[in-house]
Amino acid sequence: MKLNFLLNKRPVEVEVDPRRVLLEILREELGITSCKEGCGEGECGACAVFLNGRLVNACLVSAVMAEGAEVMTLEGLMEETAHIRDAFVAHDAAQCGFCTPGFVMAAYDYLRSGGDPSPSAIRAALDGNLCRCTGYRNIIDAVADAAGGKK
Amino acid sequence: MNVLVPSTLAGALEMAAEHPTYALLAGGSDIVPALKKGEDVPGLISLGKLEELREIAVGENEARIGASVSVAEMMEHRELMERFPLLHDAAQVFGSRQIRSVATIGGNIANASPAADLVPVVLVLGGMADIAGPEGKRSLGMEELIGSYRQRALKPGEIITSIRLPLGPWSGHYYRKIGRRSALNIAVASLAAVAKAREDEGWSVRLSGASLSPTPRRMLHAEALFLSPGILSHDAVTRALKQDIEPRSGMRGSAEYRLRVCANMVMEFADALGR
Repeated sequence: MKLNFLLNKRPVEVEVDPRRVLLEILREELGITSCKEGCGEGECGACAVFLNGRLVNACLVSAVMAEGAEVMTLEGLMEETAHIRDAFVAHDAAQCGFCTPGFVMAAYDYLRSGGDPSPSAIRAALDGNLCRCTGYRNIIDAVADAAGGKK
Repeated sequence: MNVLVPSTLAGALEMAAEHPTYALLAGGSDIVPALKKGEDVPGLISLGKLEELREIAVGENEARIGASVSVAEMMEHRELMERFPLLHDAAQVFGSRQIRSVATIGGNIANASPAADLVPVVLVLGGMADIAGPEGKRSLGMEELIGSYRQRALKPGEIITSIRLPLGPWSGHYYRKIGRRSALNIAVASLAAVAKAREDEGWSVRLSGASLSPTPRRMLHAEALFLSPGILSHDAVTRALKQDIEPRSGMRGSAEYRLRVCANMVMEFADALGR
């Protein structure tokens, strides 16, 4: 099928097999590599993107659902997420870095909604993201810091 | 794989009648993993353009939630959440932030999984699924809709269009989901419950849960124990539950564990009611 959608505010058109998912289309056809395939079944959040303004796992978004949609990836949100990425660096919240874009996207989604910056609320807000090396404490500290810096 | 994208409900019904083997695509959080695992799906009918399936209306006596409404959209509807605190509590621990963005109430029910989080919630609230099809409209409760294991009692061409929840007289509620981890878990067992105080100091309650039986059902024997004002014992609850649920052993937990944890949750609910 021919797929048309807005990618980081620019219209794109790609020919895709409707069995494919948005993550594959972004990475393999459109050169968007911030979103990564960790589990491929919606458990790890490494492929988080915004679909029509909502945080989703791109590995679970059928190509059919992307038709006509507005897709934002971390590449298109560098300015908006700068304070979060800086906080991740400051708190050593990345080790291998594979999960980091997904965490930054989830943290950005939470903080822009005016979410409570307490550690327990941040933990709950990041319930869809897994990290297998740094551990979560530095990540939660970074998000709390980013929340404070934004105020 | 053929993909159809109807722009009206009437068009979707025609397509569904013509292609009864096609799967309906709403949020995709169940069907996309199934497709990836190689499940043979000859085609998809996307419900994404059907605006009438995306509406929430809260009236005086009931709420009507379009089948394609996502869990996140329900959570953002303040009135719906205030009027249905049980739905609110279940939504909070449904999937993850990313899953709640896409997963729909209609899809959670239509998938007919015994682990579906929202089925016991809709069941104890006395909710109905509104269905449209070639022979007109009808409504089914959860027990009739999912009458046998993983099967929906839908005829070819029928589509669930909305879920209706009556407001009910409930003054108490309880929701707990037990999983292998605290985030993004598939229920090992859950309990959804509502309660109304009786004049004789007993309680009228409704109890149901996920991953406790092959099909949705209420725990009628355990419910009956709440009617009289006496103190509930764990033993009596367990004996009642043995008649009410059919837990199975699987990779997430044994039948014995599920029975025990269900009894624990019923007791926790009873404690909260002062029983």
